Amino acid sequence: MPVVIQMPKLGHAMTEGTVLQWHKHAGDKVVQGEPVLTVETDKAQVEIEAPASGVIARLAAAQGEVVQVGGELAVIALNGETVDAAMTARAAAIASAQPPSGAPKAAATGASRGRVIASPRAKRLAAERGIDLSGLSGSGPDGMITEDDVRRTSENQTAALSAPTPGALVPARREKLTRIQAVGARNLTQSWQQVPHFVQMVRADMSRAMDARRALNANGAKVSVTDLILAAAVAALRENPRVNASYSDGEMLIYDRINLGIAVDTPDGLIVPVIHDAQSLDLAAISARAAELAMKARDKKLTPSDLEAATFTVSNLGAYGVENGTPVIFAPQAALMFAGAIRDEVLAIGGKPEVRPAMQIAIAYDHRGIDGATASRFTTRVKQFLEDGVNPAAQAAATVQPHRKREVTLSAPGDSLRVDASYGAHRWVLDGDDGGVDPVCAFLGALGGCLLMSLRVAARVRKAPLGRASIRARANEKGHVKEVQVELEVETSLDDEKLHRLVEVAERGCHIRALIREDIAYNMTVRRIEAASN
Amino acid sequence: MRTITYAQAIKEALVEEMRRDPTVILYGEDVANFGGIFRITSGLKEEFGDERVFDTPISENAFVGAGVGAALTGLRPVVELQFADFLFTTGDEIVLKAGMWRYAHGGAYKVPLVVRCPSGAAGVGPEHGQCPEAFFMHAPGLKIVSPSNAADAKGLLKSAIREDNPVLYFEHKLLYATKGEVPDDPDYLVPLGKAAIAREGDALTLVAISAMVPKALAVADRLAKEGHHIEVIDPRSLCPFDRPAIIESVKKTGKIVVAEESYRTLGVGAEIGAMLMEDALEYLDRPLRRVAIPDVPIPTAAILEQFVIPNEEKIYQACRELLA
Repeated sequence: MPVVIQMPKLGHAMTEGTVLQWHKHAGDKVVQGEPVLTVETDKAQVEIEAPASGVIARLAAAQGEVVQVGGELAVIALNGETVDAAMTARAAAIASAQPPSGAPKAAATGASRGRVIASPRAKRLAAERGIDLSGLSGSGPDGMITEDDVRRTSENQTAALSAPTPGALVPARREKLTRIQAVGARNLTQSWQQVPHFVQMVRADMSRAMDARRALNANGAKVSVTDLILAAAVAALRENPRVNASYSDGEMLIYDRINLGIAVDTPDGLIVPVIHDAQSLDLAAISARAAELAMKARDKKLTPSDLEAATFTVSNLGAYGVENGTPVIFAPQAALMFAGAIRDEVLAIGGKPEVRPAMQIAIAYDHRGIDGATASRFTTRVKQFLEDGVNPAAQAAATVQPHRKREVTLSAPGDSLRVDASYGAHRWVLDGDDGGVDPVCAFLGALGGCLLMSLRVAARVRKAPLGRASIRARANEKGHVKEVQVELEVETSLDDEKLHRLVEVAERGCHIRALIREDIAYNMTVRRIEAASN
Repeated sequence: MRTITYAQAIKEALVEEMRRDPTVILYGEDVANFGGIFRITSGLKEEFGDERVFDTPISENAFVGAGVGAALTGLRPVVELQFADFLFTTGDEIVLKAGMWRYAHGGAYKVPLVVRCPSGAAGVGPEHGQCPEAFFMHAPGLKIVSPSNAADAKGLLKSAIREDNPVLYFEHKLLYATKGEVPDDPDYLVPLGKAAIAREGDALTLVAISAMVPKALAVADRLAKEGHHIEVIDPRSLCPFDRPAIIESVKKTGKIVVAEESYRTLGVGAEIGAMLMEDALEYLDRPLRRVAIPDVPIPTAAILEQFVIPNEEKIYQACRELLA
């Protein structure tokens, strides 16, 4: 029996999705796990993978089509099954599920069968003129929408627009909102109309926060201003749980988990990925997680779970130079925090004017469940955390000791070959696709790095002159590592024999070199490079 | 310009090219003494002598094969089959030798062979009445022309004789007596691979091949009276095929009907449909319609023959359906 790919339910509230792009066409071979199409839900774009290997027998929906959850997207004829046999089996399965004949047939319109039937020429014209085909009825065979149908509609619209009132406004073009933008528009309308907002604004002296950040980053961390703001929000939320809540029909639902939404601007619109369980993360972990989510957002790799269940949202538009604003809450969250640009301002410090880096914060609250006093406690706490340099989280992170444990933590988010590695405050990405270092190259890096360190140590011990040294390490292109080729270049005045000895010692001292099995062809060449002329 | 018949145009092309080039020779069954089964070659033996115009035994395989040999060794033979259907008898020589040897020998030889193939249903039954162009469009190395009027009949045959690759020249039996204006110029040529727009229009593209062209023009007249100005395209050459001519027309009209006297399955219309899928999908506003012989042998009985052969009414109905 063929396998049917159906529109998956990717989130609690998902009822339908849009086919954004097909990666396979009818007749293409697919291997289990290979992406077949990208679906856009209200929240994210998700790649749908082949559940089995075989041949695509049929694509049931066109690009841009909206399909209900559970609706058929594609049929895969399994290996060993012909496409014809698969389609016959599928037809039989559908026939047996059909209502008895004699049931009334849907009227033939362009939108019958749940999808728009239009000629390719009509679709092309509709796209050019920004006409939505789903509302048109077709005059062609089987109710197909034809070029003439589109042309008529277009002319009627133009006539309606350019009709009687002088000075009527005719748009130069129409841009349909992306699905994410459209859902955002709907939710924001609801929030704005139903949630009684009030906004509190404070100005924070960011001197210490910026000092803390500089200290951290000098130690190799990559903490952004947003990370500091997030950490301050988490700390303040911990102490003010009523803000980490939602109002629902006469009660406040107060959460233990602090799931922090971060508003991220992308070419497709505003996306709000979520740092889950931020209550148990330190600044370094919040920073790492925020960076990861921002990267996923840019690469369109966010999964629906990355976007769900936020309890509080932070929007930092400081990078755009905006100083203050009146944000709109993402209902059902009870509050949203807006951070502006950091600017030098004259603040009164101990009775004297001083120029300090300052930031304005505006926090919008749902007045149904949060009163002014509760809000004020939260607002001032955020300010205080920032003014204290985001103590204690930042201080703890800032005093992190050099990490000497031979232990690396790796985690795979689960939606790709990506693996996030961490070692103390250091983080890197391993990836079997092309997003990061692949594991073999990570090993080659470890080998080359270790050899260079070992060489440097050996030279120090012997007080041997050693200038620049570099290594190019290579392995066979594919599959298991069978050959390793190391090309070492050194700048040294040692004679050949002494250089040879030094390299030998370095190789013996290299822990990674010692890991390479006997049966793996290992070869090292050594070449001298000229001392820099100056 | 003079008005002459399609048959006279073919004969003029032969005479002019034989006068122009002594390497052009002509042979086949009954072409010399009898003047050809359709009387196209009468008088040629008298003018050019029996070394250049001669009769052969009844073996298409042998004399088309001899034509391939003559072409390889420097002559420009024009071989006449009595009926296009006999291409199947000589299939090995046509498909495997004429079509492939220039390629197979790395271009060391040319194969300037013309095979004249009288085609079309004319009350002669299943084995003598076919238009088998599509079978040979599938074979590499062959050029294929199917003129629909006297001027093209002359101009295409002259181009075919001057061509260095083998050309199957399909002359429709029912067109022999049709008349048309033909230029006097002895160097009047119609290039291979170039379609003609037989009638300009923008409501629909009607592609018609060979004897379907006069029928298509009649349909165009009828539709014009009803307010639909359709475009009629005569591909003239089926190989090479003038893709851009059809694609450009469909970009304009969005609707296309193909009328041909081949069998429907994998016919010329099928190939045109594939071209449109490849190059013009987004310009199509209606499904392709093919008017062709349903996949049955052509009956001998006149009434049954007319039942399967595309006629004006069938072409008209196909167009009306798309214009509705």
